[in-house]
Amino acid sequence: MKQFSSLTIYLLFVISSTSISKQIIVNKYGSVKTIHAALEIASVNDKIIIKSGNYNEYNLMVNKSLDIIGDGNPVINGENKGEVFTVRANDVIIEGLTIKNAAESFLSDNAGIKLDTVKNCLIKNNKLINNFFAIYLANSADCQVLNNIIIAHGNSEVTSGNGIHLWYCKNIKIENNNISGQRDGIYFEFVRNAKIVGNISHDNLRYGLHFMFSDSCEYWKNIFVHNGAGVAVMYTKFVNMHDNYFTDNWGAASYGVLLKEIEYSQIEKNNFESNTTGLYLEGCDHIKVDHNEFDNNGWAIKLMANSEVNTFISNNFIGNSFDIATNSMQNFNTFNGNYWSKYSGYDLNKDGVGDIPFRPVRLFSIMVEQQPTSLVLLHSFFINLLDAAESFIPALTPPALMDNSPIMRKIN
Amino acid sequence: MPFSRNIVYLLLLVEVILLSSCSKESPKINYGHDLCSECSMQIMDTKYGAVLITKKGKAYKFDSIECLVDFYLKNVIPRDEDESMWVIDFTKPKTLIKAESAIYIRNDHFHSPMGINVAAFITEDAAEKIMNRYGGDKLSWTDLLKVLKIKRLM
Repeated sequence: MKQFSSLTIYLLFVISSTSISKQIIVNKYGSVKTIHAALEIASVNDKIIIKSGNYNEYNLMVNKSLDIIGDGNPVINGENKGEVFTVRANDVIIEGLTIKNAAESFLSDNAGIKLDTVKNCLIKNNKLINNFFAIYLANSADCQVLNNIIIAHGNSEVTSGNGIHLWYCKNIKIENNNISGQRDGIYFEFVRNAKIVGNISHDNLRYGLHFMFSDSCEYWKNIFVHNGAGVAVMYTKFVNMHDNYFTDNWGAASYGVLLKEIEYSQIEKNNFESNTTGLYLEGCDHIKVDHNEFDNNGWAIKLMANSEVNTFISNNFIGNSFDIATNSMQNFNTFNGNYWSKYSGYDLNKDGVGDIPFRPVRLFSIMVEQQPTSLVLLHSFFINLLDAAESFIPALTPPALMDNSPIMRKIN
Repeated sequence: MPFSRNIVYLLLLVEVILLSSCSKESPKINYGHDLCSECSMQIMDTKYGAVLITKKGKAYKFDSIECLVDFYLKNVIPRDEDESMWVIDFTKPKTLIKAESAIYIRNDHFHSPMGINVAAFITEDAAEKIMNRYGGDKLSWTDLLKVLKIKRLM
């Protein structure tokens, strides 16, 4: 009997402690009319449910662990007056809201949702429209950003911020977001161990993805299409990019992916299609580029002289104006077992591997590198003649840069 | 001989046009188009930026002060060919001021493009105003070179 009573006391305690976390309904026509009021009366672990309607509110400070859930797509409009949500507590969930018009600012990076020095937060199923920065994480860890739609109509680069911006963060997952019209779609600076999966970043003013000093991050199944300057990643080690699409980035300074001072990284099974330059490497080493598809680019790969110990294996190069361009006569990189649509060698022993090596650097690409205006001569008879002569007796192209076992058929 | 005189005038005119197009004055950064000569990034943020002009009049443009300093410290171009160096005044976006005489503040409130978080100001007053509000370290051009040189070695 004594045991029984202590059990009931325990149960009562459990029940009462869970019932402490309450629900607060924000409704234009209810007792709590504003989100500000709800945040004020809420205590730790409460759930704030925002009913549908327009809420013109900004500088909403979340400084306790709360679930903030939209019911019926409520719209929170910052009216270009400040930041919309600033989260300064762990374990916060923000879900199902439409957040608009976080103000442009000179000194502060106003965002639709900013997480500042927090852990274990979840930002899910929100729509962020025309914010200066959309989702901004600073000094945070173990957070997730899932299924958000981010749209901006930034028409000038200078007055627009980034879509998903991370600064000094670790263990962050960014999945299935759709980002457009911001300055950079996804931007990382000083980030560790982030996973970026299944996002679509398109029509951003500058880069679809841009990161610096962000080691050990993994990017897969993302689509980066039609961004002002493509994707640029720099000063980083241990990058793993696989199964991504880098498509349709045209312009003198546009790249499918620009790699600058990247080391010990993998670029696998990606698709580089219709870019001015598919993949650009400068000051990179120990990068494994394999099983990628390079189709219909101006330049499939530009490999700058200061890059070494990189390997290019089992890639398809199909219909590019130039397969490889370089600015050096030396080569410290390996090309092996790729398929080149320009290869015109033969395979007498029928082992699927061409009997003579393929030299992917055209003489003309060297000329263009030194004299960009000579590009008007592309496809001219004279240039084809020069290229043919050079391929027999290499004099101006790097003699060591060749694929000794070019594959005869497209690699699947 | 009116014919030859015309030619002389014509040559003079051509010369004037050529000379004027070689002018080394008023450098400008075309935001959203120009690329940084150091880090290759497209230059976007109008609060930051820098230009180095050589004696021959070639302008190297940078997205940030730290990129200019990196480029400068690497001696990419011989020192005796430098003509002038310019940085953007933080309080007046897109406006270039002389790098050597500018006042610099380093502070994590500035998210300068390459992560060194330094901004330039034309006068002590302008710098003090920002310092009073946000704090930070005040540096001269030579201080800045020293700080970034140490950082490069790390």
